[in-house]
Amino acid sequence: MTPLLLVLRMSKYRLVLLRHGEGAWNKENRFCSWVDQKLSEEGVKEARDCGRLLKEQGYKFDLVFTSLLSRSIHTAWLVLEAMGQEWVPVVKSWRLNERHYGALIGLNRAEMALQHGEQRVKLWRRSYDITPPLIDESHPYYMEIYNDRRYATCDVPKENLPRAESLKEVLDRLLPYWNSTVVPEILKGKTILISGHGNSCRAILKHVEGVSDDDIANVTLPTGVPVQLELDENLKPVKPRQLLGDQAKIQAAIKKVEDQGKAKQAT
Amino acid sequence: MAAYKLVLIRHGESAWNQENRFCGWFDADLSEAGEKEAKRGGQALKDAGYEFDICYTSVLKRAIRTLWFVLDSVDQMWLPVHRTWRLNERHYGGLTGLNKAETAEKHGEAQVKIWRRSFDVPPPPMDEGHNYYQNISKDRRYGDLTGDQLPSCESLKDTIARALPFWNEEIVPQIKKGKRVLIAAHGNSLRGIVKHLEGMSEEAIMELNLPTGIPIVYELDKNLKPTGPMQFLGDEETVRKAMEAVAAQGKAKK
Repeated sequence: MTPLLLVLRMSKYRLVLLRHGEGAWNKENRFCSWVDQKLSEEGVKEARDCGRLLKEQGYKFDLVFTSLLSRSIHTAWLVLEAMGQEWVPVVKSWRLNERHYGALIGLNRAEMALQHGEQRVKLWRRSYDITPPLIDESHPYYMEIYNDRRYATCDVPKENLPRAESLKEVLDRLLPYWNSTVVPEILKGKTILISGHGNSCRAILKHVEGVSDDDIANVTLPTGVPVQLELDENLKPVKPRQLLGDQAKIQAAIKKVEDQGKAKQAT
Repeated sequence: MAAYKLVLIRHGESAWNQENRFCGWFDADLSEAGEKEAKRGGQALKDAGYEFDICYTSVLKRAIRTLWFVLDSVDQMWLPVHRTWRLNERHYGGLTGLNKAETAEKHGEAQVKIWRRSFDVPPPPMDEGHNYYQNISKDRRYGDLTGDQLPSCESLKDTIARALPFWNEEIVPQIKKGKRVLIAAHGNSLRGIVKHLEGMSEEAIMELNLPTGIPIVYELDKNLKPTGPMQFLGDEETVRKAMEAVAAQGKAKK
């Protein structure tokens, strides 16, 4: 498409995606996934800073979507608090949960990278359709996840909830929710914030921006940085996604996430 | 054996409480003391092992943030939360923003006494010239309210009249489905629910000041009638003090 044609497409809808900030396990480089870790102090700060930024830029949200995981909900609350928009409705769904990492949940990324090699870990983290090994009852976090009452309230029975997911499988369970619940609100002209996770946000981007299965591997979302999408009447982006805020800080945040995938060298 | 349990919590001290100003629909935040009250209330619910299925609150941050502190304490942040203007605090109209001294000066002690003692006499309306008119009446959160619904002032009777439809149409059906309900709201909107539940007279409800930051538990039969008086949750001293304060209210000189 030529630049001239891009200029003619009008932005009709605006949507903000936000990957929550640091949790205790992010610091330890462990796959947190469906374990309900809280935000660390740093993660709380990231959320507040994000809220301040969105307030400065004059955002007025009408509706917020989060997952069922506390860290995404807490992030949404902190953002709304900073903006004085606590009254905005917040809707929660398991379909926006982080990607389910199966048997890899709780494992330290650096150790895994040393055992399996950086490439294999990168494949599990970044490939589109390779599912990690399934979690089972012998896993130390199995009970904590599946005995949690919140998973008895979902729109699928607990036994049908995932036991591991590729990014493709994340989008498979997210897309029906996007279409039935999020899209109608966008089409009503509501300004929406999605407070989600690295992979649920990437899945949304893949769908909205039409990113290929191969290219999505190279999309890294930094934590605590709001991502603005401007969409036309067909919900197609009219311009590239915008990461809001200080650009130098954003680049540093992206690098931080990318470095987490790399193994620590034994000394 | 009670069919249902209902928990109410009145938010704690706000920044304007500290200044003794009529707050109403002004969106004052919790003071530090108010935050502590909310956390303490949450801890009491956690210690007693309360689980909820659905939460209701107003569109004012002092109630919403109280609910958030509680949900964090009981580790149930994932619960669905419904916010409604119908659970807002009573709208104090033209008195909004005035402190006690200013109010007496402006309107005279006698008039203030009438407003304080009356169930159905509203304060003067908040008109377009009021310094909080833009801030409140034109706030985006009230954009969907009709001209009839958006108050310019309220008596206690008015507050209750707009709170009860929400109780009856939204909350009651959830309770009857067996959902365990938590309501975080304000002195006067909660008075509406309490008056209704207990079948209290207008005089009696005006005498009742619900304690702040303390979870109030009702056990209800299948017709949603309380099977006993409201109970307070907390450590022994907190609960005793709250019960004594409530008991003393009826005897207080006006």
